[in-house]
Amino acid sequence: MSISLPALEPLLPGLLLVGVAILLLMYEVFAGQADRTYAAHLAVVGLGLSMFLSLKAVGTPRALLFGTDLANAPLIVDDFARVASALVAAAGLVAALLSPSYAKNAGHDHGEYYGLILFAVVGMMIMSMAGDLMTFFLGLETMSIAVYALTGLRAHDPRSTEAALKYFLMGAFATGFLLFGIALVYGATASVSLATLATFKAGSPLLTLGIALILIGFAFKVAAVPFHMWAPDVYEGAPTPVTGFMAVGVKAAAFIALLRLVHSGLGVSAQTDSTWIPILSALAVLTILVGNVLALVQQNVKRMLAYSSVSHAGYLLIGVVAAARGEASAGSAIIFYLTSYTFMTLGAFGVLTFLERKEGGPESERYGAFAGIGFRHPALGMAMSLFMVALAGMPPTGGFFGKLYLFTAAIRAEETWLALVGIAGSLISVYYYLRVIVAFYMREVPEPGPTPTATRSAQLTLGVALAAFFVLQLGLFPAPLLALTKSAMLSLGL
Amino acid sequence: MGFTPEALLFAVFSVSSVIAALGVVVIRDPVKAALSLIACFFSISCLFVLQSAELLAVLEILVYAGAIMVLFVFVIMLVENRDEAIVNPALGQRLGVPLKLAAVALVAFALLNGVRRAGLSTPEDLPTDFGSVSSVGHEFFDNFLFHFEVTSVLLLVGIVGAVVISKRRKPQT
Repeated sequence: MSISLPALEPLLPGLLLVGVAILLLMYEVFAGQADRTYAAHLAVVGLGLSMFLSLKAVGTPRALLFGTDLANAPLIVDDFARVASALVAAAGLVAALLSPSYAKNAGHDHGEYYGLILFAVVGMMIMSMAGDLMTFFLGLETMSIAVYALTGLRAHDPRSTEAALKYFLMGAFATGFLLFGIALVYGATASVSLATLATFKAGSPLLTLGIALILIGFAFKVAAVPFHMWAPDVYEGAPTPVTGFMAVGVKAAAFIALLRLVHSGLGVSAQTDSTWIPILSALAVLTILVGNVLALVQQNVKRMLAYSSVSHAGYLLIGVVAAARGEASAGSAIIFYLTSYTFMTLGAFGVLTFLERKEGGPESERYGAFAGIGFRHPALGMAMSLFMVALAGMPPTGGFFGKLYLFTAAIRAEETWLALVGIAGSLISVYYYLRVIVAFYMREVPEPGPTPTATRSAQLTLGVALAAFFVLQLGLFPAPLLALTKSAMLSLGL
Repeated sequence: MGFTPEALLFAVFSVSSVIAALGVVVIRDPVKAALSLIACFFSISCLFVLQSAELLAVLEILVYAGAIMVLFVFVIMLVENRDEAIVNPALGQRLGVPLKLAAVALVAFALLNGVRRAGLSTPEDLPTDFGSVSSVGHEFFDNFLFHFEVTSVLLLVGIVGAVVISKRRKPQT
């Protein structure tokens, strides 16, 4: 088999990022003690270009790379993959914008930092294009290893090292489950291709066990209960922009790959084998309830956001249940939700990055440390309020439409009770999201009072502004994104 | 299953690989645990030979038992002599042990049951060059070219990540 260069064109968004990342790594050898803001700029330009290329190709026919048909092509570049690639590139772009001033404060202002973000995005793109389980696995590992390294970059804070080690060990454990599952699926079907998997009838215990282990691996990656134990410590210890990137990027990539799996092998299995729906539903309900209740009692805003991220994984799992039931609108609801979640979460972490103090420490992340910020920094206060309102799922933000579409899909799939659990979870979440706004505006500032010194940086401002813009845009004009997600799901044959 | 020599060898090496793997987890002395891991790799490579995957067996010895284990032992020697590093598990963790064993037993039971019901005991006739260097090479560069290429990116990320984390730079002033 020979591959001609023009045939690689559908892969251009990913290849471009690999190129920029390697350029950054190479240049690092020659760069002295200089400021690394240029690296952030280069990464942002690369990610923006990659996003543009992905979106521009939407609507063109599906491309199969390194293979001739669905059963043997490792890469499937269809509209689904293109929209997903644009989404993860956007997540990387905002995260790169949030980083320069933080990296300088925290002492990890290296070019490799941006290189690792780019590689993680490439891994996510590969996951979204994967036509077989091996490609999916390689993409997942590329993403995960880059994120493990990013987590441990704050070399002077033991919390960061602990987080990286914990994340690495739990991640390796999850990878073990995933690989074992893939091996069993291969044993049952003699193929790793998702298209071949779909032709197998359920009932083979090996296949069932294999898919169950793959699902456990997924549950670890998206921090679904009871596989969520690592999330709070890792979210707290990682550099704040990385936490944001991890919360949205890893989750988006995992759910998008899960969606493709559901619409091939697992979906077929789910319709003939009645065990999947109850398992996925139980996972969703547990994740929503435990995530929300534990978020209620947190005193540290980063940990609160970690548990809230767990609960958002739960809402998305409702969508996966609906998709496994064969509900066509569930997939586009999931992509819509992921997009709005990406911007509101990155925005929230962007505001936290703004307020980070040089000496850091857990004290500066408690609710009390943010007393009176709303008046001291009116624009920041407004932005944080917007993101919190969006995370709680209230109009006029993208968060509202995300939840609306997701729960509507669940009701259409005759899973009304799941939608009700989701709504109950959202109601609980209003309390702890509003608590941040209360801290910002309604708390007395302690007299000598530790007040965060906002780190000013043009990139950071731009990042938060972009996130705020898209959160509002998705809330006021959801139609364009909805059209995109629909064409994405159409390309999967729905 | 009759008692063919293959079946006997398979039983011997699979039992020894499981025992060695258990040793890695249970033994407290890191060096001995590493040696146990080498024994585990050796048993697994014998299992590969029994499955007619000679190349894989050789690679297992060369790469894992050879290169990777040497690195392991080096690292262990470098960070040795810190007894406090190995802590006694807390009560909660000890209570979790039966639970974990139960989970493992459940998976093992499901697996055995699955294999028995799937009836996998029908080996097909293998092609004559199965497991040879050239057939594995053809698989790599024909059917799995993309996987092969993207693995290079994965390894690069691993190297860069390790270097970035372990390299302590002077804090910038």
